[in-house]
Amino acid sequence: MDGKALLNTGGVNAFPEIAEMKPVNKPSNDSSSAPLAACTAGPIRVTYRDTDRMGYAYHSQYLVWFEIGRTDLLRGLGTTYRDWEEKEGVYLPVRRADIQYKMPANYDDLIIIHTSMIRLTKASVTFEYRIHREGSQELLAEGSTIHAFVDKEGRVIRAAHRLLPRFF
Amino acid sequence: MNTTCLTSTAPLASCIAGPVRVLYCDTDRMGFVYYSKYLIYFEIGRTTLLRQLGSTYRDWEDTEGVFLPVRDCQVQYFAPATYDDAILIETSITRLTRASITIHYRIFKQGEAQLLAEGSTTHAFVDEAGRIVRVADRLLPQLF
Repeated sequence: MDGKALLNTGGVNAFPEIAEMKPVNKPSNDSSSAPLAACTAGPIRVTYRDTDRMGYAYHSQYLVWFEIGRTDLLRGLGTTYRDWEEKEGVYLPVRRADIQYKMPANYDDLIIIHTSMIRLTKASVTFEYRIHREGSQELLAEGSTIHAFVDKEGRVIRAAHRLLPRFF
Repeated sequence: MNTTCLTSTAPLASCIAGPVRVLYCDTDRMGFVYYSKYLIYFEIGRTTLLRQLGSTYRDWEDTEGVFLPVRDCQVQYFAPATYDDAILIETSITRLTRASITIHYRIFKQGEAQLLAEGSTTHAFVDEAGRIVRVADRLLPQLF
């Protein structure tokens, strides 16, 4: 896994404070692309309010599904993002989001969100997402989000090793 | 100019849409605009740009039978927009072929130079059945 390449997909690294952090979790002999953690969230029903006049889920809705995916992933790791905010004072604002749309999701579809945590430093985390219709292997969309760990004032903090010690 | 693919570092067309006021329903519990909302600002930007080019996306759908589904998008977030901010959406067409269009967006608070977010969307030109159609030169002849 080449975390630096992921951060640099836009050609410009807008967040040097994240990129300069070394991926501390990466075993030196691990050349696999296996995610650090993964989960499957859903099924979630596409509701009428999600759809636009093309009849499909509007493209911003996928970012909401991505949020469902990553909060479920954290829950599966025995923690919750709510607790991070309320008890730890740690926030995960999105620094960058990318989505590729392959096929539309339709009203009343049941969708599944496959979420992987693919990169973790002490101060940033990257998730990848794949959206399918339930019972189908056809990919509807895929994407990623990069988040910083910040405190209530928005200052970048190195907190991931405390919140997710198993990866460090 | 009559080429099948136009790319340039200078935008083919651009506009500034807004100001758009950040509503309470746009904010999340951090007090900031939720990250998916920027894709809606981007839509405001691109439809405003088409309108300034003398066209409307509604007419493309209703009169021409042409649709512009989003194929991919990316957003980078630099600073949050907050409740009641007036934001501007600087929108540029950066690439246009007969069958696809790429649009770049930069979001500012009105009267401030700081960039809040930037991103891009790429769209295909398709017909009602979702088939790719090469019509951009007919719909936007001034850019070809």
